[in-house]
Amino acid sequence: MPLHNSDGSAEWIAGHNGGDTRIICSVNGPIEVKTRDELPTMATLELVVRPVVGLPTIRETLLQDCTYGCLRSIVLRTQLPRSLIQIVVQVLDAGEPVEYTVYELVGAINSSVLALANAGIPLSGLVVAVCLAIVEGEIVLNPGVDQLKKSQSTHAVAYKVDNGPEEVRFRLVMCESTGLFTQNELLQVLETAEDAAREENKKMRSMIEQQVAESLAFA
Amino acid sequence: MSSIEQAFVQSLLEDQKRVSGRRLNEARKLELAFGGSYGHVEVKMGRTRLVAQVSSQVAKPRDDRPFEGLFLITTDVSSMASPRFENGRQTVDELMVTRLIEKAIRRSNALDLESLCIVAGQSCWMVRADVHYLEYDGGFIDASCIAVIAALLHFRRPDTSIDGSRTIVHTLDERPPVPLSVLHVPICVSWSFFDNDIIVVDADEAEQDLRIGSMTITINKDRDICQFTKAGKIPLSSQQIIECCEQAHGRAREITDLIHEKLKQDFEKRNRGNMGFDLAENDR
Amino acid sequence: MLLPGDKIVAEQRLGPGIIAPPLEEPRVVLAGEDSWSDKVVFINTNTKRYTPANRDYVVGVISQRLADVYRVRLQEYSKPVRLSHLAFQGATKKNKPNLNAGDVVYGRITHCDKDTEVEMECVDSSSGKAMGFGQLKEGSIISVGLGYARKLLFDGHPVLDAIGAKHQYELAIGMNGRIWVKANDDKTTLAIRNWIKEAETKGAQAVNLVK
Repeated sequence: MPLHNSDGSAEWIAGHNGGDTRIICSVNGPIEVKTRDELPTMATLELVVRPVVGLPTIRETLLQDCTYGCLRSIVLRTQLPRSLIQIVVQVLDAGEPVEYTVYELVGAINSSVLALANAGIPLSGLVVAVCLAIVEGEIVLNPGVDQLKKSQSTHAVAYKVDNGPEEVRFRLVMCESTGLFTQNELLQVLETAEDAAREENKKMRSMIEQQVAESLAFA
Repeated sequence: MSSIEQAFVQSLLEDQKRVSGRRLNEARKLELAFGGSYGHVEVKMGRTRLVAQVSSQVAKPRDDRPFEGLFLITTDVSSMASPRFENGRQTVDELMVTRLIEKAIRRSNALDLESLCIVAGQSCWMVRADVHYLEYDGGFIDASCIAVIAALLHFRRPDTSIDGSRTIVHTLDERPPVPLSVLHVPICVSWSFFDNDIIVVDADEAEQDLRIGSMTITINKDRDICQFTKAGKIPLSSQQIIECCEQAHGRAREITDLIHEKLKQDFEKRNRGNMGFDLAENDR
Repeated sequence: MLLPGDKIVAEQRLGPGIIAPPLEEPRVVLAGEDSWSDKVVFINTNTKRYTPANRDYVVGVISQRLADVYRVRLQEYSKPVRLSHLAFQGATKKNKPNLNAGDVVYGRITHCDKDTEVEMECVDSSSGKAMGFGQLKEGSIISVGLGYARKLLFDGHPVLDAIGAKHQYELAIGMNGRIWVKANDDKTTLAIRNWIKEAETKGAQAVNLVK
């Protein structure tokens, strides 16, 4: 359900059973920026991540910083100087214990990319994020809560989709890993993540395409 | 809002009409949906949409009230609801919502705090209700109140037991979780006043921007008035106020029944074929 | 259908939604339908937030009145644009329209680039005629998607014809997604508002609603 007061919005539902984590994101912009936040050559990007329980803490700051880093690489901020792009990510269901952040991080990134595309903010491309864990030596994509608790490390990996001349390439933009793992394991994680990102990219593309088709229904 | 839009809304009202097509004393249809976890409820009133999440954790009671648990309500409006709300900064209107919800639910003792006590002076439950505003089209007070009270009714906290000096919090598999003790269901109903003695119930965004005064009555099914606020310098006769209370009571009854009906449906769905709770008790 | 980051090969001029960075291939930056003509290729979208472009027709609300310019807001919370007191039909230093904050004007964007303040006018500056521009009085304003507003303005829509066949009304369509409607009475104005809004999601089927 789109948010009618926002210029763009998206909802991201993910998880082990396909629906434990629920995140909603709104984008407003380009709107008028306060003079103190104004940048003469580019748009100000404001990002707020809000938890489902309690007030934002250092945990949300971490989510915010990681998400901001990914979005900064795709939003063409110089196209809209002296304006404000306001992004709010609201977690509606975390779907993971407070000690973990992978699902929320992946959801924050994917939902804000979808919402930015929905709002018509110029983007240089799409970013897709996926979430993995190493459980008893095995790499698990979209781990369940039990698996997360047993895991030795968790990984949130984001790729920028780069439509090259011949093939679609995936460039790594973020890898947030927590826990103990070897260099080899990390390389394996990245390999699995890239394949997962290809699937995720297809899913996100069809979501955007469907939403565009709906918005052009007036014709 | 442009002056022609203001004139348009006002002239419709003087004709006993509203932009939304509602009658002056007609509130919006309420939609209520419970989420997957306990204490998660989404409320929609027309285009106003919000989510309330109730959660609990063990905490230390206040020194001056050792027999009572803690209850907190947070109502922070972000720019998701509308760009008119600034992130991390509270406007007067938002403060009004916070205060009124506090008065309507917390200070009317809707939640029995003494039942949240675990060990007097040492441990108690801290229950918090977080309200997340997704879309704004007026009526935040009425919608927030409904969402918080419905979420409190829906919530189940883990059961506890005391083993010597230790307090044990049982997981959901060990013992069935317990509902909170909600003593009554307060419902807020708001009116807006306009020039030429026009009174409108459940105003939307444009009407709220144009109104010159407002009144919120919080009342429950048993006709207890829990809270009464009237802002703006509009003189009202006692007859009018009594009529409004009467109307509010009708709406409170309607909404309370709807909440209970939805709760019943939700728990029937949850408990279908689920005998896990009984088994846990048989083992002991 | 094209999405941000997709490549596009075109001989034509690149329109909205496509950017060619120096020394790089042109890239799509918006999600929408690609629209091709002999002269130009662009991405067709129906988003909500307006960014001004030269020669666009707009409906704006005056937000501030200064000594020789008005500030006009084209959408709530957007950056206001400049409108000179003299950019009205027949306006002179001595005789100029008296508008106040909240008043509504119809005009077009005259000067727009991303690094300077945007300007608009309420007169055709080449002929000095009003050309339908100026202050809009009474009636009501609705907000619609930008793509839908462009469609209504350039191609028309069956719903507008259907309303025209049954009612007398005035219309000013702004490419900023604001449409001004005025009929003989409030009841009809309200109904027309709803019909135009319905047509955005229902398409030509909304014609059946018109009474």
